[in-house]
Amino acid sequence: MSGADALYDAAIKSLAAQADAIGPVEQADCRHDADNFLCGDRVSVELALDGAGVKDMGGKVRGCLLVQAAAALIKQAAPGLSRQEMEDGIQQAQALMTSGTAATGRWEGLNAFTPVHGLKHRHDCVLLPFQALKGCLDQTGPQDG
Amino acid sequence: MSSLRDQFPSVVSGLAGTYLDNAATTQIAGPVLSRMAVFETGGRSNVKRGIYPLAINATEAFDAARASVVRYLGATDATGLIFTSNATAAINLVAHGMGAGLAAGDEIIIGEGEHHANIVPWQMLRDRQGVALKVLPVDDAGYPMIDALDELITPRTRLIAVTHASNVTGAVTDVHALVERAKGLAPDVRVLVDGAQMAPHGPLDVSALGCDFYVITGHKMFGPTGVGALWARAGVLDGMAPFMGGGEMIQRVTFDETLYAPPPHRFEAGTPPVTQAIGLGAAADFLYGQDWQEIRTQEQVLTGMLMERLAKHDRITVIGPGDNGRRLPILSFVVKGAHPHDLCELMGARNVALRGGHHCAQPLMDRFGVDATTRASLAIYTEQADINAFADALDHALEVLL
Repeated sequence: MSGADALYDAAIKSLAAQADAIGPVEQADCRHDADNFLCGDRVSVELALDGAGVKDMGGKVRGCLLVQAAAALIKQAAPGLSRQEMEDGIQQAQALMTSGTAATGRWEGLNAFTPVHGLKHRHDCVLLPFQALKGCLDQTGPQDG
Repeated sequence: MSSLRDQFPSVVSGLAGTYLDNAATTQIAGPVLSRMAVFETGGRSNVKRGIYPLAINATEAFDAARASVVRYLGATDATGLIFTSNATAAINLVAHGMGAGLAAGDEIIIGEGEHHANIVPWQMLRDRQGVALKVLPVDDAGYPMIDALDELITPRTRLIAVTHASNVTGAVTDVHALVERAKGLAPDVRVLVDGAQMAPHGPLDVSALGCDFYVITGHKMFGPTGVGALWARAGVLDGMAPFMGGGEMIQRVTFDETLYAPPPHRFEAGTPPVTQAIGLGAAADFLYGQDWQEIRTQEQVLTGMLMERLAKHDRITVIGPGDNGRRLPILSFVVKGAHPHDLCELMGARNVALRGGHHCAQPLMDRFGVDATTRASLAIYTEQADINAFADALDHALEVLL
């Protein structure tokens, strides 16, 4: 299996298939769009917050399989996480891409993207939903958590 | 055709792989490399300044390059040919130079199928000076709808900016008919044609097209990066304001005022990209000497094969002309359920170079209701083996993704 083929293994494809379930969130507290100007992919993230934590994540995903898979992973992990745990997920995603550091804890699922670490030109695909998530969190301001 | 292919070192060596991203950048021709190397290793000097032999020879080489480009474009007057850094810079030059003479309420018509390079400079002009932008629509095959000019052109229309051939669909604009219609409705309207895609695909004849401006870029016509050209019909540049100020473009400078040089130098501020211009001249000479009838036949055969291979997959839709008629060998397609970047990743891993994305033509993507396409673009060195490699890699990618 070539490096490129490894990107499209069952775990990532299965995650990406779940992106279809991402839709608008009722009474979202924040919303942010992130664009990949190179290819035109766009991810909109919406969050519904419940006190200090995330009640639900939704939005709209228009992108490649990696973008879809990363967005689906956020959707899966987000409910119940605090703002700090969400920020931690963003940092773990960045660390996995830039240095190959394995993700841990609630974001262990990120390790499905380990094959992308060696393909720098695809890092932005994985990080696009996290970029949208960061923009969304920034709108809500720091909270305890 | 093999001797032609042999003139491209990166193609012959195999290092370029199955290179089908020619609409983005073509491989460089050996004669271009040779001429630049000769200049850099034994003739390097600034131009239009020194009076020692090296400088005189450099100036002669630079002037000869200008004449070569003029000849390939089918023009006659070298004063109408301005070297720029690329086609984008050439369009921006017109947007600033001609734009300086426009007033709020004047109108510019741009094609719906344009590259961003032929949209954004006009939007910036609109924002600077309040000109109005109108859009010339394309039909379902991607061809500009010339009839729509009847409604779009008004007494305030100053310029029409269209591509000669789409970098997405390969659709070739009937520029002659467009110019005839436009000037029939408004004799003073200027027509700017983006020839970046057309230039590597055959003999050009700007005189016959009847346009006022024509822009090209070196890296898409087997020449170097960092150089392009703007050609303007005789007289069109005379009243045009310079874009950038500096050396080379002046006649006389005092602290009170500056008198500008006549075209083309008025528009070539600073030391020009001498080596690159010489390379562009070599590329023009290389293209000028080709048997275009034979090349066109070959391109059509290969495009037909490509279309056949795509038609085998019922999930694939070709964006643009569905036939092999008035088109370049540039083919964009979408695959239901497979994103262009994923396709390009997998096919790239098999050494097939394609481009996936919006191709700097997002309004055209919107026109066709897609976010992005996968594009295969052929060049004069493409051969049947490349199409076969493409088809095999595509089959594999679809197997992985779907």
